[in-house]
Amino acid sequence: MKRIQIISASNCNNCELLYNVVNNIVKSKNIQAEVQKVIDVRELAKYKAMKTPVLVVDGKVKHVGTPIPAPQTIEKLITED
Amino acid sequence: MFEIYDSIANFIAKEVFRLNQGDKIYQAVHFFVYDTLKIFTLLTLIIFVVSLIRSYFPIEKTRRILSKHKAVAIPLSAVLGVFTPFCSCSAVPMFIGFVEVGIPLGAAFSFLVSSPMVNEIALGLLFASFGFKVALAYVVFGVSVAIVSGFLIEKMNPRHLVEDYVFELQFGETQEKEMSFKERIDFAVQNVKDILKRISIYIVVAIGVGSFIHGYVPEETIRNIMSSTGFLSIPLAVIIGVPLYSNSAGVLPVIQALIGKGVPIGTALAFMMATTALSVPEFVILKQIMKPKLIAVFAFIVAVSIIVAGYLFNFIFGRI
Repeated sequence: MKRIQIISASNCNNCELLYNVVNNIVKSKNIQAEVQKVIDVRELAKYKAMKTPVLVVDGKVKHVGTPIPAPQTIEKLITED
Repeated sequence: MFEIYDSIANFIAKEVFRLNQGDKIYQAVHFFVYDTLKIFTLLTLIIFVVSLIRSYFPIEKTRRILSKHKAVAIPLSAVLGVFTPFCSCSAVPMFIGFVEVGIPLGAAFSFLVSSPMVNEIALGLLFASFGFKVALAYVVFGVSVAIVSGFLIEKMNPRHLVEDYVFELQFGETQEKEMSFKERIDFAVQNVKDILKRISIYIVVAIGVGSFIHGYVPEETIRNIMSSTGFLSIPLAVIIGVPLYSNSAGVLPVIQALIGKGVPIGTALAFMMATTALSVPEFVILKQIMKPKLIAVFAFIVAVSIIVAGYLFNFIFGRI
């Protein structure tokens, strides 16, 4: 089971968008994963990210900041090892 | 450059809708078609170019440059703000990251003014509606407002109004991802798509309203409104601009039509600056890291600087 986190400092549109896109991909592709939205600037600091949103899969940073990549790219980011 | 759009607009008004050239409705339809084509072409172009330039100045790089030039951090940060992409959701980590490496608070604030204010949408719309000179003036006035605001805030030494944890959190050495040129192009294209998807509808509606004003509202009506609000029109424009988020920068086509009827450009620029630099959602975000008093002071200083810039612009370029 994968652990996917969308980390941000505040609840903004782009973070919500990324969260929804990830959730849709996980559901439609039947990926075994737990998707979690984390709104905490301390978590951002932990991953050394000054831009939001941050996409973290199993503790690894996969994407930082805007613009959000296309859904196909996001799918690749969360399924690759 | 846009003769072809003029021909298309004439064709649609004359051949498709079978309107008479002298009629008001003809003027309105022509204005709508012409402006929609012209604004979207220029907007796409400018957003692309600005995004491409901005891909060379990620926030991490800007932070590194500023941390090395602390003595001139305030003006430098206002200038770099123009080139650094900004999203208000990243305001908090950006602020903390700046403070962490010893960049003065005033410089963090001047960045918070110039980066959202001088953005690709505002520049694109200004360029499309009023041309290169006005867009350039917007950059110069925007950076000036950011510098003045930064110095004033630095002068009041607001450290005690910033939450304690801001000074404790550490991002450490952040990595700058090296992008290939193709990645930069992709970044710019994605940005163009994102922005157009978000703001197109506002712009089309605004052009629609603008066309109506252009075709139907007599110049005299506008002149009467302007002379009755007169000197107060700039503060009014700023006050109206604050609750509108930057998406609503799409109202510019309305203003363009108003300007055609005698509203001064400085007033329009002040309005644009207020919608982009001062936004309620951003204030809510900033509450995480600073006391409401500091947000109020920040908003007040920026608003007053924008009003002064608006007057100055009208003074230099004529009409008040």
